[in-house]
Amino acid sequence: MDYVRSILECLASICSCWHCTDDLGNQGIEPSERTHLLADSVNQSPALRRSNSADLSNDCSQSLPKKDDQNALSRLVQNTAINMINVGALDSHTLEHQEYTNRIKTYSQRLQQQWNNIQHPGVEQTGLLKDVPNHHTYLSKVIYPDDTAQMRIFIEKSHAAVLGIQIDHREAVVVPFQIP
Amino acid sequence: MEQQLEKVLSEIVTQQDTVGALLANRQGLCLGAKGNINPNVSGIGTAISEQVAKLEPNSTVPATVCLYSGNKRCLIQKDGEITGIIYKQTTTASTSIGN
Repeated sequence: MDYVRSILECLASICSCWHCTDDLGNQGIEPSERTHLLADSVNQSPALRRSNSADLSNDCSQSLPKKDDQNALSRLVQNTAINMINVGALDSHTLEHQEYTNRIKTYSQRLQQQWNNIQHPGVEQTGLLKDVPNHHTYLSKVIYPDDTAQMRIFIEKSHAAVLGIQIDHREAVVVPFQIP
Repeated sequence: MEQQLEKVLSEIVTQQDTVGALLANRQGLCLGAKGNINPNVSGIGTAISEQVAKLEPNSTVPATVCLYSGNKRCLIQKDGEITGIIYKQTTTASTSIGN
């Protein structure tokens, strides 16, 4: 039963913190997708932190023995809320059409500028013979089929000939030393 | 001993346009040479063929190098342990390399 009560209290604190973020928006700070849903964050204003800690202290005063459980639950809920991205607060939903087209133009211009600044590696000459002028004339030389055929036959016959090389000894291969 | 090799080389140099033929072993040492060819080019020819073979290491067909210079051309091929070099003379000009 205590757990149910503590969960309810946490939900109540979440609701109060949502109100806090609404207040934050009303105070002039634009809510974005990265704005924390809960106020207990380092990036939030001290006033909000104070209100949240006040809530927590009230909760603690009501149920002192369950302080650790409540803190753990609150931390859990706050961590979840911090990790959430508030898609509903994205600016794109509120963009006017004119502003939308202006942004498209701006982004396209910046992309074009960056693209022009890049040293494109593909423009440089690559490959063999890049330092040879009129290399097409050299590369267009024909390889005669007769040449390759002649070389193939030469190599085939040479293989057989090399295998046929053997020592034609006419004297004794092992010569004994004449040691007196 | 190496009569068979001498016979093969003699046959090659008698073919049309062929002026010299040489055979080198894996170390680039000359096994035999016939015609108008310096036996000392055996090491250079083997080195060239080894470099060209690196272009396509997975190829099962041995690469044939053809060097054009003036009206002469030099064919080099390395197949296994041996490298063959043939000098030929024609009426064409300029330099090229083929794989």
